[in-house]
Amino acid sequence: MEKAKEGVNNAIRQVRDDPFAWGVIFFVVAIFTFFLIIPLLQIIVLAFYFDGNFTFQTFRNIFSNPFFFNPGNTSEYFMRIDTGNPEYTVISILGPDYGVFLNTIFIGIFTTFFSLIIGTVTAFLMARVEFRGKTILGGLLLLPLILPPFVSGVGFFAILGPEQGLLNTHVFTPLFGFRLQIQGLIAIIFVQTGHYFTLIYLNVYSALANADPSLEESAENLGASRLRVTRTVTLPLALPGIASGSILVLILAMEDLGTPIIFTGFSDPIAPKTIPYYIFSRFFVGTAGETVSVESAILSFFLLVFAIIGFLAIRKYVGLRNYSTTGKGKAGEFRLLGTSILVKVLIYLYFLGLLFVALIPHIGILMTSFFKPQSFKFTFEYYRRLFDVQTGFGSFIVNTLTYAGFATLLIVIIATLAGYVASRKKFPGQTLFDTLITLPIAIPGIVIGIGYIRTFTDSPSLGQIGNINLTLDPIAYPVLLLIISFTIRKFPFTVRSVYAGLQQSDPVLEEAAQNLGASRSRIIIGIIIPIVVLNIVAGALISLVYNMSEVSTSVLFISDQQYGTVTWKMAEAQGELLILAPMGVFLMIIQSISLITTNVLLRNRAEALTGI
Amino acid sequence: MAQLRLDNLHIKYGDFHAVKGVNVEVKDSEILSLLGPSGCGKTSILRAIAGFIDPVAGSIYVDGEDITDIPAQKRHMGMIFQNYALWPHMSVTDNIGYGLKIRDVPREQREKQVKALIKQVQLEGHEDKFPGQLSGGQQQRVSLARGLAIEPKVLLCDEPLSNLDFKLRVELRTEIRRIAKDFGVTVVYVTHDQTEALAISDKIAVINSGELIQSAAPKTIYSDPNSHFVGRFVGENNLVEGTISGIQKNSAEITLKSGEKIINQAKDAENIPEVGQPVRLIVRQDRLQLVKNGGDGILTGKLNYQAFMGNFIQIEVALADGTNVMANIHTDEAELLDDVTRGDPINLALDPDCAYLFSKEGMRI
Repeated sequence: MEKAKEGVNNAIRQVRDDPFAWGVIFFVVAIFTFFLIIPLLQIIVLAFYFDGNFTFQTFRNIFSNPFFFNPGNTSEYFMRIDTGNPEYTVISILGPDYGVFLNTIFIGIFTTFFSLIIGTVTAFLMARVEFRGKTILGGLLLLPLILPPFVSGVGFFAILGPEQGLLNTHVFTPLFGFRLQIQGLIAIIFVQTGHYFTLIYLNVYSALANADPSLEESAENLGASRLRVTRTVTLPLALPGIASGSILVLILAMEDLGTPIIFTGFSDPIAPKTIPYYIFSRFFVGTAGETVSVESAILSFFLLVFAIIGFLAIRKYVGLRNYSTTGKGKAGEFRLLGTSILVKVLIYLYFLGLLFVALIPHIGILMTSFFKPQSFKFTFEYYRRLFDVQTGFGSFIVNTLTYAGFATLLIVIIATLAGYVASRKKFPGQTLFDTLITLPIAIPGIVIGIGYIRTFTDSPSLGQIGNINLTLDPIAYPVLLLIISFTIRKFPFTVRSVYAGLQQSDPVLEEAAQNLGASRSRIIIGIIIPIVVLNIVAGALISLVYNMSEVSTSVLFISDQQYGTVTWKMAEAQGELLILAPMGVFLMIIQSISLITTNVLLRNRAEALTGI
Repeated sequence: MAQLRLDNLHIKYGDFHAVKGVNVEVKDSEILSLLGPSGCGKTSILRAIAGFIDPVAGSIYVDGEDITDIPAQKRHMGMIFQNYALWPHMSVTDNIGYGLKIRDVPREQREKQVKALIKQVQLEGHEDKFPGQLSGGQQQRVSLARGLAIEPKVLLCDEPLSNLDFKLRVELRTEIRRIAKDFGVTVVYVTHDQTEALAISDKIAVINSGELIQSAAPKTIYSDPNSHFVGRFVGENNLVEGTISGIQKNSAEITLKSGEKIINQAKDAENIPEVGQPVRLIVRQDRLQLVKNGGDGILTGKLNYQAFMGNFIQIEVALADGTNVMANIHTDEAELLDDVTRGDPINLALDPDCAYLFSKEGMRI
């Protein structure tokens, strides 16, 4: 009793001593509890409670239904060569079909596997082997980063689509008399790998480039061959980067909704049989009191479990084994591995193939957006339609900018405060706090969306201000809930950036101001914000751009065209290249601009911090 | 365990000529220091010996065999890096045993050897720790043991102590010398710290701007510098300028800018410049004595400050022309400083044997 009393007194004293910091902590925790934890718990409740009892029944139903779970492949065929058409032979690859649940795992594993191999090999070549043209290659290898949702799939059909793909219509058919049709899981894995290998490449490359050259030199000096140095020193040092990159790719590949949407739009028979697409297309049940189907809840629960385990693994693994900080500074430069001409030729061939696969989306979508199909006449028509507010799609752009802008504003305010407290205040539960505010990065959007719909549908309206209906009910008026979901989902990008900026700045600067009598608010406004302003701007730009290309909750919440966003329209126009292409290019341009700006901002910052 | 010779070594980075024709020889089991300011090329020379840099000209011989074209991993040399370069993912034992593993030394023997080395560098009890759990000094001990484990022909040390604090540096340099002598290994030791070079070496090669300036035993380097650069770089000393005002046999009379006349024994009498030519004099701080009265051979000025340093008092004196001269006065011989304050006159007698005369080009006279 005494102890408890003492504990309470202690807590009260802590809060009284620093009301500002504790105010921020309580505020942020409250927001994340209400808009992240509770909706996620709702999903779990829906999945496992029936009539007030805990049950595995629906769970068992799913695993006994071959539509969801079918270890024995039910695909019609794996590969087929059809000679029925006199004009050309059709080579069709459909791949396996193991049911919704296993298909998603299959995609996750193989996309990760191929991304891992390609990403690691590419990073090793770029960081350790000597050959010309690295600067250009380094730039080209960043292009897969500017792939908004849907674009990979759209580009794939523009180049490799069986009916409209450039390679089929203009190369394979006229020259060789065949058409290539790649479908199903194999096509999705192909498209995803061309995109996600970059994440592993960047992770491993930075691990290799930032390692201390003397670690490799000392092994060589002791007589280790190049291969042995790579095996015993280089790779183990890059392992945290490889591992965290792989887990990230696994999560992203499994939760990817954009690619299956596009593939389904082009009548792919297996693409709809993935967890994200299933939830997207069949979550809704009309019966009273039940807005989300139990099957959707269970599948969401699976995605959620995978994501959370992966997220915690990255944090733990990378946190524990962060080798880069053990050395005392970096000595000298890496000596690059010289190679014979033959090996150099092989390296160039490798990059040629890689770039072809990686740049299919960019080439495909640009081509489709500027040239008329068949005749290949140059045209601006699709863009003109895109920006026309009256008759075209301009209203979608306006909506997108509005929602994303408001959400980013909220993010900047909350993330700056939260990042400051996380970086400067020592308090019990700090790790938990940090985990909570970065967690949304891993939670699949479709899962958050389902949780929101389950939690907020039929929530009351607090009135009407102009056009704005003050309600969180997504069916009545989706805008407010969308802005909140954007805010929560893309919050980690800004908070991480702010946090990183503060970690680089010495708290002594703030103590100096405090010593001279400055209050907390003065310190924040006069010292902290100027120091991390570039990190705030850079983080905000990233959040903004991801808000603008947000898919999952947009496609789940919006049912009325007047509230539609660009991505919502793209999902609706899933099979129409001529609508998808200019919209995709628009998102790509926005992404490139912000990516370049962020880079410029942060690089200059790094120089400013060390140089002056 | 081996003799090492550099023959006319040239190293270039693009257009930058980092090392310009260096010739040095290290005898078996000798410790050679490469001493010089940062950027002088000493580390480049070491990395060329290790095989990490290809010299553009010249050769490196070990026991008479030209190893210039042999790759780094075949040279059988241990190396100790400034930042330790321990592998963070391997334990102390694994780090030390790495080279033996590569040489396919059977596990049992390897463990025995590693154990002996751990004892030698006083790291018992830390065998299973990882580098991140060790202090800087301990990490450098592991690095030393790792370099020695392969019983290298030559042990290369790249400023191994410069990341450590002063006390540890002094302690560890004595230990490196002791262990190196125990093993009888030939050592090439790069440092910019002249005290460290004097303490650890059998021979010092002073390098400046990529050129070898003087190569000799520490005592010679200290007491008989061949050039203005070596004189200034090694030891604590003062530079005073003047002109030749008279020549008698082997000695020269110099009139300092501040007016005092000093007779100095020339090392090389034939090279004494003509009367009226400018010369420079380097005077060791610890070879100036406090005297009551001024006169020939005595520097006279006003006290700028004095600082108590324990066994000596350091004073700075401004000569008549404004040149500042520092002197270390032994505490027992400092009664004359008792009532002296800033601005009071001070007379310093200079030991002509420890004042070195240089031409204006910097060559010893």
